[in-house]
Amino acid sequence: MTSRPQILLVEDDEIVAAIIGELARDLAEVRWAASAERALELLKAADWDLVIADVGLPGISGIEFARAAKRTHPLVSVLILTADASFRTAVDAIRADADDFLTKPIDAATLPDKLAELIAATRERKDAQRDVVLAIGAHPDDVEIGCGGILLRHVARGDTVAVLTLTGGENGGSVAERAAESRNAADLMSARLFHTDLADTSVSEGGSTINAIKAVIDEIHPRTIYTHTINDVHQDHRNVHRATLVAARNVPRTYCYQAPSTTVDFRPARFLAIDDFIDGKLAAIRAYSSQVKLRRYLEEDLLRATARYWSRFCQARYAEPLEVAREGDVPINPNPPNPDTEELTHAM
Amino acid sequence: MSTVLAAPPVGGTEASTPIAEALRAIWQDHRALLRTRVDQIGAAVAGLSTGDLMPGASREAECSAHMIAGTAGTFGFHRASALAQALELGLSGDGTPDVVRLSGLVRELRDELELG
Repeated sequence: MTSRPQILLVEDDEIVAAIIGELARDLAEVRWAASAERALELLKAADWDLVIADVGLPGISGIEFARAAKRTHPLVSVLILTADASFRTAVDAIRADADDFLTKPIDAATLPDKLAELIAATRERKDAQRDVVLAIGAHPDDVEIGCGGILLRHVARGDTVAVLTLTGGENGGSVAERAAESRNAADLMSARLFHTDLADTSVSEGGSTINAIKAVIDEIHPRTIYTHTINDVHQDHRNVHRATLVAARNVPRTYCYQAPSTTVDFRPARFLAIDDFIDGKLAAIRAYSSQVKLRRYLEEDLLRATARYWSRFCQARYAEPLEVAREGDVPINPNPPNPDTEELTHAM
Repeated sequence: MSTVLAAPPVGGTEASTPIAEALRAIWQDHRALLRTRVDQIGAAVAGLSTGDLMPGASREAECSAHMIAGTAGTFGFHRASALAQALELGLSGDGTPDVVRLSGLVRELRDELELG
């Protein structure tokens, strides 16, 4: 990540806010909230690198706010500021999972280094958690319909997202138009688009499809893959599912999304909240204007109702469902060590 | 009642560093607010001595003292920070405030900030 760091400062004294804003100017963008209530609203507004909270705030205290910030943004460093250097306040800060604690008056000479250190710690944690995601679809718009909200959720947490669309969708409209729509949709989701030209409605489960998927996997090294479910009446979708399982055999996590042609045998076990991303998903689908005009399954109320329905399986208002094809936590080694050779090596 | 606040000593930083320059600029920008805070404390202590303190004025003065205690030291006014802290404590006490002592602290605080 190379973007300019973002600091959220919650401080009711505008002089302290001005001091911190000035001292952090070369390091980060500082957004100031004078109350914890306002800061709680702002927490969702950016990918923060550091949260600074004064303890003595009107209304919700800085300690309570820090606890809430850590609960929703566990990777972000939290710095507590207080004029009260008592043992009690220090214990409260530790219990709120704060990363550091500074007493006022602030030492202007050392503050910039402290802020830089906490920002670096956040970024290290985020880098360690960052995922590379590949969503594979047979046709333009399959991925957006099946897991568009989930992809936007990945982007929001800083993951790298790519979309592989295997055919031009020529049986459903102009290839050029659908390709342009795919690019627009990918741009709207901040995803990188790979678009190959396998034959629409004749996608095989064999070599050409496996190779097309494998080429992208080898280029971007995803750790999470989304693909079609096998439980689908469309032959292209089923074959992309099968080809993905072969091509992605060394990728630790593979999940399967639904499509309008999914059968009643689709049995998801994973439900991801997309409350904050449903509008983005619908915008990406609207990018396929040539299809939106023709396909009743792209009507917005149906898409929204589908996400609303799946939310009954999780604590959300909107959700997307996934079948789990494989879920591991480390990449699968394609060349595992041979135990016999290992023993021989040790014996030597 | 008004006070003229001096240029800050920006203690702990070299006089010509960018940090010292930045602190001086912030001090200049917020002089009026600091003056208001000192005056607010002074008015509350005066109200205590005459017995006609407005409701909430003591709490506001305590809050102003707390804020001065938390900022003055950053500008190098360490004694002013300590005085403001003593005022905060004096205004927050449950018992009868020692008005004479508090008045003296306000005077000293004003002097400290004037003299830098």
